[in-house]
Amino acid sequence: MRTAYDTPIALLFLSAIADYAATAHRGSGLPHRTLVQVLALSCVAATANAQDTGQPELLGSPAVLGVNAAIGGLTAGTWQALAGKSFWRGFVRGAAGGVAVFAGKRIIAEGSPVAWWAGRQLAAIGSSEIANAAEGRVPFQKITLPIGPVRLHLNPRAKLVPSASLDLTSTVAAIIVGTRSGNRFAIQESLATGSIVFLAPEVSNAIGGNVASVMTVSELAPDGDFPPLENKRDIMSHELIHSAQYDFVLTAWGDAAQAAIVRKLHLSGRITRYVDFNVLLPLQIAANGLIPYDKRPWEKEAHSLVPDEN
Amino acid sequence: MSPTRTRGRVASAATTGVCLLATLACLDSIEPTPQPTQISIVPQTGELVATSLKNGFTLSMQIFVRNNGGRTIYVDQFYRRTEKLVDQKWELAVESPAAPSFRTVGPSQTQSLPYVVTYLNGSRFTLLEHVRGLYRVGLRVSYSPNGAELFPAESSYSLPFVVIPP
Repeated sequence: MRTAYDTPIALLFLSAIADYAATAHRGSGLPHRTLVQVLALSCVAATANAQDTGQPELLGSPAVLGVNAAIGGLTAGTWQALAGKSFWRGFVRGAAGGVAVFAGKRIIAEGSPVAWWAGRQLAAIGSSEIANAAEGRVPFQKITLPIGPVRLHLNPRAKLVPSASLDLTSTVAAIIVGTRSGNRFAIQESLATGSIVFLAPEVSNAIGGNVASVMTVSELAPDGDFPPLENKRDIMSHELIHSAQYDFVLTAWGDAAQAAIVRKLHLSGRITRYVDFNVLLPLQIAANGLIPYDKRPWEKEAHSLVPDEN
Repeated sequence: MSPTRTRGRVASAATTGVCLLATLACLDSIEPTPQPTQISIVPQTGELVATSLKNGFTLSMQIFVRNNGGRTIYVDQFYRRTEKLVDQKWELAVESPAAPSFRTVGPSQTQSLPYVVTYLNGSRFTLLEHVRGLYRVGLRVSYSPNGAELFPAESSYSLPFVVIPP
């Protein structure tokens, strides 16, 4: 049983936007506010809450593993087939990457700082491998590791020093969540996970949330087992699994889509080299809007890997 | 030094750094509730459901005080200090005044005391307003019938219990 049922995160965002518009930008011109609103609404796409009403159906580990492998395999195989190369060769490599993504999420569910760091980075390596397989690159040619809103791009075969880019969506989400009344930056939790974490005030109904990989955890969550309250570590593991899902979408699908748009529109790569725009946000917004909480596959996965034992 | 070896060293250093960070980064544990050997203070239930009122709510249950020692103890019949866990720390939610009226609990005896907190909307007790989470109750316990030999406050708390909204 989950103890707290929450206002949908979209409403929190709308409220945050209202706060933001009312305080930080009072009296400013409409275009500026509109931009803030669009960016803020965009962040809703990567939203997940640990405590919405209704409980998703739980899946067994083999099923979750199979789905991750299938998504990785289909991503790489399809991309390779579209490039006129072998679907199955791409599929096998992509499926192997999907297995690594699953392993990373499974490790995250162990609920300790070492597991959170190791699990998220392993899942990110798996996502990078799916992207490598899709693009026909050699294994581990390009590895993308997320640390907060920054993404480090390693090319172990060619460069000693990684390059870095800023995830714009995550940055905007951090600003909005961080400026929401009562939220405060949680330095220990952020260091423990490698993600930006905010503590939500005890008056908040949300016990956890994830917006574009920016996590919130309620001050009420105890770091111990007091059923039916949910353990703080379980909440953080649940939300960090959503961060791993977000990393996969950005690395395996979003980067390729962004590169394709830049090529198609003959845009300069100067900005996109340093800033990631997550061009798949509209799809994510649509998915979150259309699918009820307990039917969302990403919630089923997170709930299955970090089951509510109460 | 070959580029491969240099890359290996950089990768090892980065991995070591992340491992160190992950190992050193730790979350705050819950501020402990000491359980003295001479008494145990146990709530009637570990899951207390608040009862809704027209203009607020009420929390109501029994608290069992067991004297495990060889000396008679005396428990203030009216004093209740309710604390709520916020960010792993216990914070005062509401406190009732002490009274010169003590309940006697003989050696190896158990007594039950009522615990009732009523919250009216608009009250100043902000940590009660949002009624849910982990709570504990502090009592005044003494070795003397007039409250002169009080137990330390930290030894007079109940086991934590979960409060569920009405």
